[in-house]
Amino acid sequence: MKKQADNHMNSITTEEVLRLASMIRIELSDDEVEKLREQLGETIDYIRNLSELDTSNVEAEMTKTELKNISFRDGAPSPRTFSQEDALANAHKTKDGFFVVPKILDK
Amino acid sequence: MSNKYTPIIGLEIHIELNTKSKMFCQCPADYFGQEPNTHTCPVCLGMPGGLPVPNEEAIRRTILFGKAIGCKINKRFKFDRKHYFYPDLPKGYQISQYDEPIVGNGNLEVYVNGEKKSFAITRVHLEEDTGKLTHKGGESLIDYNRGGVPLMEIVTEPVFHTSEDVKAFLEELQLIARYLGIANADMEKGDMRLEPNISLQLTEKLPELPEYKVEVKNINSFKFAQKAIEYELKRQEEILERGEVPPQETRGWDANTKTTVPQRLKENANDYRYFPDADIPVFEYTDEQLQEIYDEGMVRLPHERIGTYVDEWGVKYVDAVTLVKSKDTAEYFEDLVSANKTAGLDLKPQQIAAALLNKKIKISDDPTKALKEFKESTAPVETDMDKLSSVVDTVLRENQKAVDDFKSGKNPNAIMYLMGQVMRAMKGQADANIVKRLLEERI
Repeated sequence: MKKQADNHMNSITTEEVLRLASMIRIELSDDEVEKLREQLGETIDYIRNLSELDTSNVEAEMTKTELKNISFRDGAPSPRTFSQEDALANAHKTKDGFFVVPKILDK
Repeated sequence: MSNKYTPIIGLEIHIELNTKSKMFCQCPADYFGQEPNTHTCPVCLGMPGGLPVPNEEAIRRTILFGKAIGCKINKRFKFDRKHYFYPDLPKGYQISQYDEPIVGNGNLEVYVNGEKKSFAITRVHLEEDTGKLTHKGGESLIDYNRGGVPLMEIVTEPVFHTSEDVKAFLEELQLIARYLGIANADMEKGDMRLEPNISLQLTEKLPELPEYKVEVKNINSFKFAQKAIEYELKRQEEILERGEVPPQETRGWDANTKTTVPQRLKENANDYRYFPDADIPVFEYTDEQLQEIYDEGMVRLPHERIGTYVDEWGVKYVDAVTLVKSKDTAEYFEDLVSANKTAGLDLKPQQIAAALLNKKIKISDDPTKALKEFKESTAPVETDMDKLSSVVDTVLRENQKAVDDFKSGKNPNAIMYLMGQVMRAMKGQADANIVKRLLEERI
């Protein structure tokens, strides 16, 4: 078991784990980074054998359905539109009808 | 700017479509001036289980716009997810288009100060607008009424070399959107937004592109577009002249200081992890369906009209440009020109254009009636020659000093005074040219 883990040490690097964490806005301790690096590495290895399949003749598929051109008519009734009260019902903090979040710098 | 450097500018332009509904849900899309968060639903608030469905009219309008700006329309296109974390997007991703947009590349011809130029467009895609953030004290307030409103993004090649070209191109896009009736495209209201990518290249190194580019955001008027570009070119030239390379970054235009300032960017800003939105099946249009859209919605575009006015009708270029700035004015002008022909009034299109622009003809008037009245008002005044002859003699007799001044060359303008006296005695019922000729003969 130990030997197998060693073989897969480089499936995902510490830098890649840190980059993923920053993209999804979570903070990780050094221990957690190491633990996730091992676990994510195992997951990647587990599905790695998929890349052995020859897919050169297979077209990319977005959905499992045969549907296409699904759209709605502009100005159709909108029964699902919320009242302001309902829209804000689950917010942590609101003010004068707005959602409120800690100050964010301009993009 | 010296000739040592050549500005290289590419544009990203967003235009909001003024459909009734939002892009992927049926919430009303008119957010301007509405109470905050009154036009939202599970889809545009990004709640679990919300299922986006595209608005057919938004797609139709993007196809029409793409056609109007001379681009290729892709019969097959799809929607993708663009991921980033920012509170203006409740889902954690924006539905946009990545590798299969609705509109492909093409060229748009634009008149810049009378010269016809062609600018290369890369693509036009359709996406959803984001919510509006207001930063107040230590907090940010969010209104999601705008979130999910259909937004077209037009991307050009780096083919612009002056801020004047950029302005002309932007104005043309705005005009086309308005002619088609698909958007308000009001920059001040944020319906139309410009993000230019600006850099300078040593002229001797062209056509090679520079090794950096600076993106400028927060431009909300045509005037600022021009100012921001000019400021940025000057700033970059100074850095290059010091032997340095301007850093690749995003800067924001500050209308108060009339400068651009660096904007702090989130890390990995460009790692959007695009992938197809599995909730939205692909679109495939047939040639017949596309043709139907063009037949139904295409109008004669401003630059086509300028061509007709100038080349076929002999209208001055500047007047033609002013006429097409409003579709209503352009159409009324064309009505006038055809009424002129039908009624056999024999006015020149240039005369009609000038009369319309000087408001001697009002757009609310019936074309034929308006032209007839205009023609009468400009017709030469019938002059009673017998009466004029005696009036001229009287005026000359009674204004001996003015006559002498004019004769001696002491005051060449004295004749104008005499003309005024004659016209007054004639109560304006005389042709000024005849009066002048008569006075000169008899002095």
